[in-house]
Amino acid sequence: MAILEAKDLTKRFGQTPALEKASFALEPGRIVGLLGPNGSGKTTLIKLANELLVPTEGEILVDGMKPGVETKKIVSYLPDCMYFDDHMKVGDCLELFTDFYEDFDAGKAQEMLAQLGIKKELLFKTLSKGTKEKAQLCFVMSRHAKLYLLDEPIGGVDPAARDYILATILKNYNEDATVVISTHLIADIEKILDEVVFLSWGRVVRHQSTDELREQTGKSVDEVFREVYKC
Amino acid sequence: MLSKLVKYEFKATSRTILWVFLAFAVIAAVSAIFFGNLVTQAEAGGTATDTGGTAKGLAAVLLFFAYFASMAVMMIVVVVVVISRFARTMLGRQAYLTHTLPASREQLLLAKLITGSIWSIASTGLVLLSLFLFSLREGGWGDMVKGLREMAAEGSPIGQSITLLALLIVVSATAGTLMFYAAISWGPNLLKNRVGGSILAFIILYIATQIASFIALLGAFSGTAMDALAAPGADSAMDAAAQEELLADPSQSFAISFSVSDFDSMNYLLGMQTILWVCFGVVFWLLARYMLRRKLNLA
Repeated sequence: MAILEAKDLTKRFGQTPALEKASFALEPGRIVGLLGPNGSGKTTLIKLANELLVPTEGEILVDGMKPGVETKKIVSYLPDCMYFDDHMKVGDCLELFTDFYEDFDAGKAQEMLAQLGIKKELLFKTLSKGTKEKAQLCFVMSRHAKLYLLDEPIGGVDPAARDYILATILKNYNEDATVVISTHLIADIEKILDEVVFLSWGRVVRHQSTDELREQTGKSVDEVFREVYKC
Repeated sequence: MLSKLVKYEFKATSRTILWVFLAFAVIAAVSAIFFGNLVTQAEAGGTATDTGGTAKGLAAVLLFFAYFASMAVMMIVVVVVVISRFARTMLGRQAYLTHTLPASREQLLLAKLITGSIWSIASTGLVLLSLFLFSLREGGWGDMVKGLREMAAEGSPIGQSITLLALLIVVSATAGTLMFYAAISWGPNLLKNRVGGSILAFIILYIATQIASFIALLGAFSGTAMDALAAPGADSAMDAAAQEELLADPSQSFAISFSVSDFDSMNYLLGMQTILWVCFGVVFWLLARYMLRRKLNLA
């Protein structure tokens, strides 16, 4: 069974379409790049899978279920913004994740935070933007989820931080799980992707494995991306 | 799951609210002791101004002002904290975490409702407690209790009135909190500006409740209750005999000014208001739930 499946998924904001009859299915155990320029519908798709938006038409299924309480137990989501209360301590967030997510590995999170020099007593508001992002990633990747939905995890960070983030994702994800990474920074993540979904103006324009794509086109994913989205 | 959600709601909101409660409690206690001493001194050796001079008079004015100011601040802070917490965690940046917790929208809404209502009821309770503290030294509380006992002995449904009043406070605090939640949830669907939309939604809901209350109470009092109020002997105005009795024993004032039929009318009114607020609460709950389930738009 597909871990994430979209069937004629459409989302419009007023008259503006963000997703238009998008259909695809992702199998378990894959690292998938959700690729497209800004405004192509990547974030909308991820939000729909997390029940943060309601589809206008069509449906999206997570492990065969419509987004809801049961799917949230198996999806680990990294949004493109900071979602922790600035007045919370890092230790409070550890307690919160332990309380709410059965698959959360507190020991693993503590280890990752310690490697970054982030102490439990620190308030989130005292951390720098980059450190907050890394801390949030540590929490998200410390869950033994079936599906990781990572929205722009490497957007707006320096190359060194990018390397750290990608290494953290690769080192910590559950290998039976599927990792969906949305980005337009293809060159940085191309080497870790098993398959790609190209979105353009809310439509799925290409969905195949990276090996197939390279064989078919004789080009790298980054080169194909530049060709598809040429201005 | 609900208990965990409530725990985190209290943890987050108590950071500010408990300090404001503490400040009000201290100011109320100091004021009550100060005014109590003034009364005691005045009773012992003349008027309050004789015993302490201008300084005590000035302190009394300042404390009086501080008491009411802190009461207003406490009420406002509770509302602001409850509203802003809901807006931030249900529709703002923190909503990305809230809505991805393995909890249903109903559980999320209920957890916030329980917390918001408890803070609202607690602030009302604290105000009543402070008034009780003030009345302790002046003998007002004792007079009132004595009057109430006498009325109860005469067959007045005073116990029912107190129960209904308490119930109305709880119900209106809960429904009032839900009104804010419904407005905030609905707001983004009315206007692009989330704050503006929420204010507009609140105004619409407020006007709707006022119209509904007016119609409902008009309908309710057009029948038997109105007849009862208009019946001979039901008039609450004091007659000459009652005025004489009051002059002879001022502690009787509470008992004399309310007759049995007055209590019946008041209880009827309290009951009607409670039922109305329950209905409003149900509508606000359904509206907030619908908006969060079907129209959530964290764009």
